[in-house]
Amino acid sequence: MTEKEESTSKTPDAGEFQVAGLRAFKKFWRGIAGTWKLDRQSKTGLVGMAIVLGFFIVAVFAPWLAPYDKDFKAPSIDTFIADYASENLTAEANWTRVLGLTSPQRDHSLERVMAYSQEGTALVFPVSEGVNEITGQPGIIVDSPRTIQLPANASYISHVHFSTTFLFVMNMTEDGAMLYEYNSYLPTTTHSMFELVERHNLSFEPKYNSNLWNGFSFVVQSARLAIVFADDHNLWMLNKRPSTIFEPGKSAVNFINTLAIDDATIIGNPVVVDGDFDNGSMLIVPTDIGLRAYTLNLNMSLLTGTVYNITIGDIAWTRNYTIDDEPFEPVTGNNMLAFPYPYMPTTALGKEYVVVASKEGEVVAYDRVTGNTTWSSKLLLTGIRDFEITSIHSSPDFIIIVGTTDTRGIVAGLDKKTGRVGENNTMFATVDAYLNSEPAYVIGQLMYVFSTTKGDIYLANSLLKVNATFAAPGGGAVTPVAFLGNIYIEMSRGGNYFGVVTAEDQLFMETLTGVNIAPLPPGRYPSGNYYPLGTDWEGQCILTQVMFGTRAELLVGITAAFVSVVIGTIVGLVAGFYPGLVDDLLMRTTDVMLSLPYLVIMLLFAAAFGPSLMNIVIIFAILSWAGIARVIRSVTLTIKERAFVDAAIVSGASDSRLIFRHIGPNVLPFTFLYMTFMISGAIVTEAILAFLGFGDPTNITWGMMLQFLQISGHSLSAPWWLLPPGIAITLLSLAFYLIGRAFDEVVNPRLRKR
Amino acid sequence: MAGMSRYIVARSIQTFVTLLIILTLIFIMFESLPAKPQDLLRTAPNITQAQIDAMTTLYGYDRPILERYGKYMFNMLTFDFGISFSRAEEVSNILEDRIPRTLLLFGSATILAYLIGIYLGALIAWRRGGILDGSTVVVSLVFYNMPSFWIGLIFLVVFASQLDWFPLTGWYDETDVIFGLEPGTLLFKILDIAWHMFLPMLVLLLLSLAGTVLLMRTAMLDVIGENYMITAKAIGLPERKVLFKHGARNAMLPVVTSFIIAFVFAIGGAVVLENVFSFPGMGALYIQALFQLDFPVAEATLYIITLMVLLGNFAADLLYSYLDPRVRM
Repeated sequence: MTEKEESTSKTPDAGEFQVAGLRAFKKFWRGIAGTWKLDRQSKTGLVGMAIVLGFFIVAVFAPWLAPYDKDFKAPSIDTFIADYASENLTAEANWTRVLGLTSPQRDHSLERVMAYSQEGTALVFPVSEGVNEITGQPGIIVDSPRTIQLPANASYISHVHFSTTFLFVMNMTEDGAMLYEYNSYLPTTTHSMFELVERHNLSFEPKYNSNLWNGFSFVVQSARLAIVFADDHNLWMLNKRPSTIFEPGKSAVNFINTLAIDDATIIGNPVVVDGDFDNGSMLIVPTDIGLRAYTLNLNMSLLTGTVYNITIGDIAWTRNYTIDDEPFEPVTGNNMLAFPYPYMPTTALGKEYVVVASKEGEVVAYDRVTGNTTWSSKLLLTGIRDFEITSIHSSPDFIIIVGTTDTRGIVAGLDKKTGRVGENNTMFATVDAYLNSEPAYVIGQLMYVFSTTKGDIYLANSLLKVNATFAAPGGGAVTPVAFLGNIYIEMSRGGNYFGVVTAEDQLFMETLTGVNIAPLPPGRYPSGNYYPLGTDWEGQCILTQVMFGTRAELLVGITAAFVSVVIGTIVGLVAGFYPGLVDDLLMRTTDVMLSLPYLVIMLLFAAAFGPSLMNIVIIFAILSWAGIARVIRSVTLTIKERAFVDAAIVSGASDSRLIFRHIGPNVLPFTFLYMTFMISGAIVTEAILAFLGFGDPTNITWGMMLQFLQISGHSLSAPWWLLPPGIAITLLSLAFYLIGRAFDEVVNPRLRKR
Repeated sequence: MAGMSRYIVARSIQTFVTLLIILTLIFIMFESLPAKPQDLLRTAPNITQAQIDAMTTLYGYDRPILERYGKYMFNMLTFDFGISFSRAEEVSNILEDRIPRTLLLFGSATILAYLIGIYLGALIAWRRGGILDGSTVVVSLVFYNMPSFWIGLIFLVVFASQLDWFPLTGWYDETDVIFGLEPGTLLFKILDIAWHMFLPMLVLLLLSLAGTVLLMRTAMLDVIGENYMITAKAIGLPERKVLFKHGARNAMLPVVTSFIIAFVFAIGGAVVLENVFSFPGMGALYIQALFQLDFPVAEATLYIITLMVLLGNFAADLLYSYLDPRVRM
């Protein structure tokens, strides 16, 4: 008895198992080979085999067969009808920034575009409106550039204007950090001047900076610039206001303040938050022990309103990082604090509060004057889990939150009155790489422009839905995208331009207000590219997508089917082998599983587990084994009665040996049979889940292609995008189904006589 | 007849126990969702902690899990679904209109699929090898393996968008013009709803039909070789009678057994197609509720759908036991 128990607990070792499996497979294969030519339906099985083989070849050789790269996006000259210009830069310099220099006259219109290099060389291109030579349309005209030597390795560079324009550049010298202040103007249409006005030595190396620009106003007294630099314990603040008529010979007046904080460490960018220039300005400093607000005192003439001095006053309030007494870990760094500004960025008055966010998604707004919590909110992004907030940004109508998931970048807009993601939790976009630029607000267009580390540029509408996305020509952008400014173009064509430097050292400028004409129907396009099946709305080649989609499709189909038949076979074997309680229990469970509305439950599981291919495999396997279990059980029942099983029992084989060694190999044909049907089902199921919005957005699958078609609103107008993925799903699913039918006849010889 | 009633009682108890198990599974699944309703409340505009507490108490999320489970089971079994998270409305009010629509959609499709499928399947098996057989099998195989939403989209593009024969979305529209009928009259309503439902129902019908035809054909082929069929032919019965009275009736047994599979398949299809055709039924509501984390609505919808499936299963079993008296023994 003890001997028997011992052998029961012993599981068959792997080698034995393999041999048994191999033998069963050989037997099985001989069976197929022998009967292959017997009937008509096996020929359809052969057709199925051929189709599956074709798809396998496509999956394996996709990178060589596909016309384009996996991440290929059609260049913007194909997908985006817009005014653009492209200028050669020298290849010797490492171009790191593009800056639009706007004019204080003529409503900030764009007058120069500057490309700045790591070496300090800057090329400044005067731009104006006119007839664009490339497009023949009214647009941008770029004049020949002027080379200017600026400090190298700038850690900070910005351009502002009052009655004249200033360029600030900061870099590190042997003496410490040096802030260079240039008077920047355009004396003629072809000459750009940068005149060094002042240098400020900061005596520490700044880690954080912010600038507040209450810039252009006809009431010049209220125009102001406040630049703040800080490291762990030091803070340096420059306030600049335009000169008045009582101060001849000066273009602006500077006030410089410093502050040393010894009892805490600064962990993010301090900001100046203004209610009004003369009403309750605060300097808010994020430290490791909480937020601190210092009052800014103004000394001004009651008669003219002219400011004589600005000083940092007492601590007005402090707040530690908690929500409802629960501490949180704030996002740190250069974009830690932000505030919404009401009108245009240049008239940024009336800011009520400052916003802090935790990495996990809590967001709190503190009142500027009192430090009380104005609102707090927990960020919920439909369908996205495990995201991390990396920075927050100011914008007119929203607080913009930038974050990351494992593979994708997120931009979300928080309503400035409630802190929730605007428009029913839908005001966010995910993009397939991390953001490398602040989402810039485009004045007058209600649009945002940002770029990613992949070099793609995204245009999003005021609800942060991506309107257009395209790669800059010449290998994509190497600098973050910069919103340059506006040029007034005749015929009221929009003139908001952005600029980047491309991988081929081109300064590329394009207007934001073009028309995205993707999805493109099949054909040849201006770039010389040929898209055999057209493109989707992001300009991705459909044929390439379908080919690469084959990989995920086969992987999901085969893995899901495999796991599901393994579970089903084991349950069936055990239920068939142990009659009575075990059988009853397992079969009742099977009945319950079979009477579940499985697709509806799958959707719930998919919502619970989150979107990934792995989860789809698991969900499918959990819910689809019951049918096989039932069949395998009945097969087991008949095999159990056969003489060779009795012989094995007599010779003292253990239960597990009986099940896996003797009965198991004989039910394997049925397992294989159902696996082919299951693959067919899993492929269609994946497509349905993906289409309904529970798919894996990081992988190309045919279902995801159709989901993008649906959500982008082109399902009725882009047949070249609608047909290929659906045909591929049907073909592949049908192929496995046909193989299954052919197997069925081999395994169930009863069917063969027809 | 005693055997029949005992069978009904036994099946009723079994169905009820299954329902309890499934309800428990639904509860566990919703409990294990990573997002909690409290998080959702936090995003509401100008909400105070006191309001959040009040809502948490209202939905019972401050109670221990077992108590909540008991309350949930009681509420579900008494059809008291509470108030939706996303709209200030009783869940039963929201469901009230939608249940009949979905029932009509997939109920009519399933029944039609069965009627046509059994007839067609028997017919093509009888004339096996012919052109009708070959083409029906090929078409059925292709439809059987197509993703439902994709056919739905293609039908939308062709019949609603390009040819403009059918409306693109919705269920009923007062502003439609139908043979100059007065809007709001009963006939107008029936015709308008039928017009709106035609495309989703047709797609669902084709999908369900494909499975039924293939199944019935196989079952009929099994029966054709039986001795009693040869006898029936030999005694000179008319072909129609042999085919339908002797053949199809017996072949139907396995087809009826698989009714529940077809039924579940059709429900899945209805959920998907409602989303494609913007048909305001339970399926569209369910997906919406899942995305909005509206637990009461999602739970209630899932429960109703499960209940439909169980009742359908029950009915199919009764029908089967009627057709094949051996089951009752």
